Amino acid sequence: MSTGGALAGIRVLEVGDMVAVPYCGKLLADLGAELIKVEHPVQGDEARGRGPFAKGHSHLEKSCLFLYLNTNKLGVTLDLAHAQGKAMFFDLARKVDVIIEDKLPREKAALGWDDEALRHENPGLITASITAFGETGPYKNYRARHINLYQSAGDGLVYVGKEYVDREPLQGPGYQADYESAIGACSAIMAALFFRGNTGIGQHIDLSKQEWCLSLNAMYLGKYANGGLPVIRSNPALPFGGVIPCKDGYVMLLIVENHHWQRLVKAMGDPPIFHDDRFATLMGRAKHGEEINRHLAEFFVQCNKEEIYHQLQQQGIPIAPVATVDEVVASPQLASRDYFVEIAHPAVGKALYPSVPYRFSGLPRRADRPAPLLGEHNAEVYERLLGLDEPELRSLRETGVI
Amino acid sequence: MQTLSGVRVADFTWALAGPFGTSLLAMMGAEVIKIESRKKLDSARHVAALYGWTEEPDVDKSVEFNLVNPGKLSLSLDLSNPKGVDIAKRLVACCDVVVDNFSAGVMARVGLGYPVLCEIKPDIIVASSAYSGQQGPESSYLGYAPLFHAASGMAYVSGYEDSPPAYNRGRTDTIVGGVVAMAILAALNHRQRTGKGQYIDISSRETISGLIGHFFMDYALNGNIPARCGNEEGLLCPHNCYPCRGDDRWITIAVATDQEWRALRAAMGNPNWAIEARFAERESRWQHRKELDAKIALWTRDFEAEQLTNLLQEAGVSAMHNIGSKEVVSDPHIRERGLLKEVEHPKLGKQVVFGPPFRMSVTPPQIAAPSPLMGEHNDYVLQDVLGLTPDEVALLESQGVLD
Repeated sequence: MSTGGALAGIRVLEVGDMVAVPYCGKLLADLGAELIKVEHPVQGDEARGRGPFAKGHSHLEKSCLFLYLNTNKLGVTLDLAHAQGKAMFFDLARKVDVIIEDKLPREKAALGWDDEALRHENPGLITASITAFGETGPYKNYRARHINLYQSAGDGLVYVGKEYVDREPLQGPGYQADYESAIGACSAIMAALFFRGNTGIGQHIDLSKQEWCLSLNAMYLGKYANGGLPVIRSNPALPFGGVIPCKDGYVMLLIVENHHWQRLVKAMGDPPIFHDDRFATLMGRAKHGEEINRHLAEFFVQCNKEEIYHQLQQQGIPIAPVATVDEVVASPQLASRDYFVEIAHPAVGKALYPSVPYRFSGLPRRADRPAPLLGEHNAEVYERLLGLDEPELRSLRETGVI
Repeated sequence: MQTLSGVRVADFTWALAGPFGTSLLAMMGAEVIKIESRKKLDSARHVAALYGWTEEPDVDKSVEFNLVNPGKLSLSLDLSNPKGVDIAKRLVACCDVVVDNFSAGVMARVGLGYPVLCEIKPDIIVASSAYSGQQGPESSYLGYAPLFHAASGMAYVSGYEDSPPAYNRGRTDTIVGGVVAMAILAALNHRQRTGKGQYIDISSRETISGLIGHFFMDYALNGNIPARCGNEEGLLCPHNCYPCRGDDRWITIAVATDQEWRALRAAMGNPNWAIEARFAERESRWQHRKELDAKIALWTRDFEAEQLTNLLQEAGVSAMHNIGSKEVVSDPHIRERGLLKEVEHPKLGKQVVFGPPFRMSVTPPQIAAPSPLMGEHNDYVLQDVLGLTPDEVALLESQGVLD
């Protein structure tokens, strides 16, 4: 299963709910790691209870979120609150290279979970804590869902423009900040693996999702810290252009450089108004952006977004359609790169899943497997790694440990 | 010893996406040599002028550039000059990783395509990040962050339910940089085990589509086309930003269960309106969410945001004050963890930068230096790394190769 991937031979234990830790696990699994996901024996990962569900009704095996975030993993159940469950978890920790988890410091303390003690028995172990606010500081035990995280990281100000000023700050769609944090955690883990490959030394990673997301916006948020003006929602986003309505939806137009402007004017049939001196320079266009927008609106409202996208891009003009999910799935560009892959799952059948954003010349693409059913790999994993036999497993099932 | 000690990166990236990725590598101890030119200036060195907000400034005095390029070295090199390309090739021979985020095909046109680099250094890792990736019918199209935000499907689902799609700023770029770093680190692990390098083709559009994966599953399994839903998340209720005392201060409150609702209600002092039956259970509460939001906003607006966060967290409610440009400097938690660092920049003076964005217990990432001045490390790179004599460097200088 893990032959040939960049992380072939690396075994990861995942203890986490919803998005950040599971997506981090998926990223590692997609790169070839053997990923063992530990879930609560009854309700499983909280994402299993989040809609939308396949065919509408709530079902532990049919959550769209869970199905996407947990491909290529082995799934086991384990009750960490149970003494025997805890002992089995610590046994598993001796057999893995990496542990990723999202427990708050107070939750870890209550479980008697001590990363350094685990490392004492397994010196190369890499442990990664992925929490909203990190493991130190006054907010370390604060609970946060996506909207709390998103707005605690400067992100409500990412959407700027007059239309937002009088309304409540906006969150990113879905679980954007959690997904993004997983990418930072995955990078830190692979850096630690590289260091361990050179030295044999494991270590602990503390990723605060808040800090990672603040860093993503450093170029904007950091201006005020350096004596500049704060970024606020009433700032103009772009001199002109941006999201423009067209006949069947919207396009996104980003005209910055002079030659892009000149090409756009030509593509619009060379309207005499655009030869006005006011529009001759970058600064002039920025100053008269609203007037330019009025002319752009008249032009684009007559266009079909996909047609005008190809037509203008072929003339070297930066534009894109504001695509809906079905349009993304139908994109010839993505199809040519096999971005969407079909995966069959026992409870929901075959479906097209988004795959990976990279292609490695020296590595085959992984043959994807569906998200595990709750406890699907209990026997396989506990027999192989902990040497448990069928009567022992039966007894663990009966006592609710697995 | 640092995490990536001994790893040298030839960094051809510019603007925001690539440079954020290579700044992570620099913080972890890789030697990142930025190859740049005044002839094709990195837009981060003159952002405001690029957008027409200001006149052309000093390229060594960009606060934005300093924020995304700390700890890197700069070699100024004109790649439109064959001698510049020659120097670049000699540098690649001394590097482990080459990375760019030009439009697809630019590196090959310059004479630095993967087959060429592979001949110079067979185990080289080359990562290219572009709007649509390196192949396919749209690979030649131009792409900036707002464009791949739009084409990925993310823009369409960003915004209030009654507004047009929302325009997203630079984080769409920087997260692609995160994937660039991630892919390079995967390849470094692979090379460590097998001795083999490789070429990595990264698509910005695909990166962003991956961040809304569950929306694609709703389409695949149900045929649904998700729309914008503002600050909502499923049936969570209340779930929004609420105003607090002060200018543009807010708190987010996210309630998932009836138990959490009762905790919030108690924290508000169980006012009469809140104990009405229509708010008691999740589905009914969600149906009356607009009314509920208005009532809660009347309560929150008399509080300092930070105080209210503390009060609600103590009560077991997920709540957090919003943090923007000002709060990031003053917030006690961010201060105690020390995310903001001060560096001494030779032309800008004391500058605040962000990072590192994660901690490692044995090999802590660090910000070792400010961003480089244009060509600041020409002598180091050309003489110490490539072994050129001072006379040879002076000749290149006089020929305009180091512009």
